[in-house]
Amino acid sequence: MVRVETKENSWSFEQIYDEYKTPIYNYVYHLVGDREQADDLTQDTFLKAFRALPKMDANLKLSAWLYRIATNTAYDALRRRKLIAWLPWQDLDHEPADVDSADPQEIYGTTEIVRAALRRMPQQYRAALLLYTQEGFSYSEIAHTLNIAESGVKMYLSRARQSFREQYRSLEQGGGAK
Amino acid sequence: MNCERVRDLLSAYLDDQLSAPERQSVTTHLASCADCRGILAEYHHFDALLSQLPRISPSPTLHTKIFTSPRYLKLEFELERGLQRPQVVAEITHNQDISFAILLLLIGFSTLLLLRHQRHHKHTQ
Ligand SMILES: [Zn+2]
Repeated sequence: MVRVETKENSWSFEQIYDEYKTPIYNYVYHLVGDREQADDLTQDTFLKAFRALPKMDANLKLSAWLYRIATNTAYDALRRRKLIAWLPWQDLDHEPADVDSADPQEIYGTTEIVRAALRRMPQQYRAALLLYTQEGFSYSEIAHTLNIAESGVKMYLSRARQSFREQYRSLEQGGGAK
Repeated sequence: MNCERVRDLLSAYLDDQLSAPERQSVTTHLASCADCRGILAEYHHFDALLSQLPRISPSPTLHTKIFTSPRYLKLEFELERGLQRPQVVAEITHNQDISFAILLLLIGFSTLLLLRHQRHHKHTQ
């Protein structure tokens, strides 16, 4: 088993994976909204982290650092996806058209509406909202993870909540409107 | 403060991230505006929904996929070889120095032998 040692810490890759696999996978999944892609991106995140870890200094905050790698990895993938989004069937950022029909509450439970609203809101605000609500990060931890100022976090969360609310309400009321 | 300004501050108000005067202005506005109060209540509700969203775990095969991937095996090989640890790298260089010295000695020795052999030939001719 490979152990990585810095001045104050000793980690094994297996331990890191076991401890963070679910939070990181769950986070990446909610950023990209696709399980298969979340698999690939989680793998990429951990492999990038394992490779960089021996070079990191002793006071590394492992958790925030892993989320930072995961965020960058997922956003890179989302940007690539946007480049090929001119193919209508690959436009995964939007829900399929059948959401328009019937009462969405009957098709979707609250959990699905929440997930759909997350997918529909602007990508750049999604991470901040997930880190705050799902991971319980503070403003300063989010700032550190997303590499932005704390005032930026305030703005991101405000925009995130406004657009999440819009998307949630439109899904609740019939789903069609963007 | 008007509704538009208040709505920009509601998120930070919910998280208690406003300065005291801003906070006071928003509180005053909320006392008389049912619409903004409604939005604040929704934000609060959405935060709860998001925090209670079921966690999704990776499939157990992801572990195998990662730890048997060529990228992982390459990294493991490098780390076990100590290619990333300075003291081991120094050891390798040290070993190379010794090998080089031995090689030089061998070349020198065989040249000497060859020369003696040639001289011996000249004598016997
Ligand atoms: Zn108002």
